[in-house]
Amino acid sequence: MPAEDAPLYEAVYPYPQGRSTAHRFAQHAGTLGYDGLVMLGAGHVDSSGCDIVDGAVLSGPDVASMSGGLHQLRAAHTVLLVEGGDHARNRFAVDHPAVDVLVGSIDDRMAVNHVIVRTARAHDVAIAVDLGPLMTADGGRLVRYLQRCRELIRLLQHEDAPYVITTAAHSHRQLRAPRDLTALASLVDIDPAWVRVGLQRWGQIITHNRRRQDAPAAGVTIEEDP
Amino acid sequence: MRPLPKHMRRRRRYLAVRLGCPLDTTLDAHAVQDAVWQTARRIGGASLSAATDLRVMRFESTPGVAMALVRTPHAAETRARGVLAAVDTVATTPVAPQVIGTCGTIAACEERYMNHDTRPVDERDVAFDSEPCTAFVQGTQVDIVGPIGDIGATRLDLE
Repeated sequence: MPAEDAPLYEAVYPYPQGRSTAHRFAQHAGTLGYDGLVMLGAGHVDSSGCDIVDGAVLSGPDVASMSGGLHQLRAAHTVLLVEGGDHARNRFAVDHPAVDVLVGSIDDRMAVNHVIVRTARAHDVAIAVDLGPLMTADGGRLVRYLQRCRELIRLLQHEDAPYVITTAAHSHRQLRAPRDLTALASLVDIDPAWVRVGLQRWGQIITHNRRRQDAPAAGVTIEEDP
Repeated sequence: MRPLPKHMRRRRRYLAVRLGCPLDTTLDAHAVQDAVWQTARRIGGASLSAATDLRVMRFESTPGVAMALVRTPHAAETRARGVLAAVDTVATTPVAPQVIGTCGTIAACEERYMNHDTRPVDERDVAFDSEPCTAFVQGTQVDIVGPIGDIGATRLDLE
């Protein structure tokens, strides 16, 4: 359980994938009260406003096409996300300890089960809970999405598996302040404290990976002199 | 008619909401009210709509940003915040809502929060990603309109 004031992060898709540039995202996230953003597929960016973390998403139509790029992306970026969807791709993501986060895991019906969640916990792969559809979807689509989301959250809580919260924003307008986001989640019976921990989890992943990247050799850490 | 005793009167909260929108558009008060009601109905149906009872009491709008004071019963403040966070578009205009504060009276809320950026918006021709585009500029914010679609950017992104 992280501290109450642990830094809050979000992961976003800036231009060219999204409709806002990395700088605009950073500027907006700063005013909303985020400590930083994971920029997915934007290359290296310097910015004021908030901390910027370099991230990448591994996606593909099937496991065979994805497994080739895994280690190259892992070496090049601070945070590595893998896009799931069906059972095979979800399984692929949680089977590799090199993966940080599994996103889009509930795109298909029944794609996540207790085995996936347990493996995720064993390999310390966080499963992303996407709250974006709460803003965009409506009617039957929203109902079905919420059903899958509830099932996923029930599994995550039961297995005590790592998770992150995101809205998968493609435009800076899709970002919400942490407090607004937790209020929105509580409307659909998701515990606000649970959501906050999910936003802080990004920060833990980033700190952990940066420490590993700064290491002089694999497995070597530099201890600060007290 | 006798007024209700003081402890029985309805207590209300006023939420100051900043709605960011593209710099070439100006939001309309009725459209915002409509979007808020529709969102409440979409997420929680009639019961949530009745409980949050969201009403836009004051509204100011300039290109790129609008401020709305939204009234809600005291007990429903968190739920109201959730509904406002779920607002995604206002009459097909994408918006970025943010609750910037709450007060117990309209006057206090107006005084504290209804002073948004009213700097003029410039229209310019710029190059973005080696493409000629039209851009709307306010301060450091730049909204690009061009053949590649609408892009949110900052001055740092322009070449």
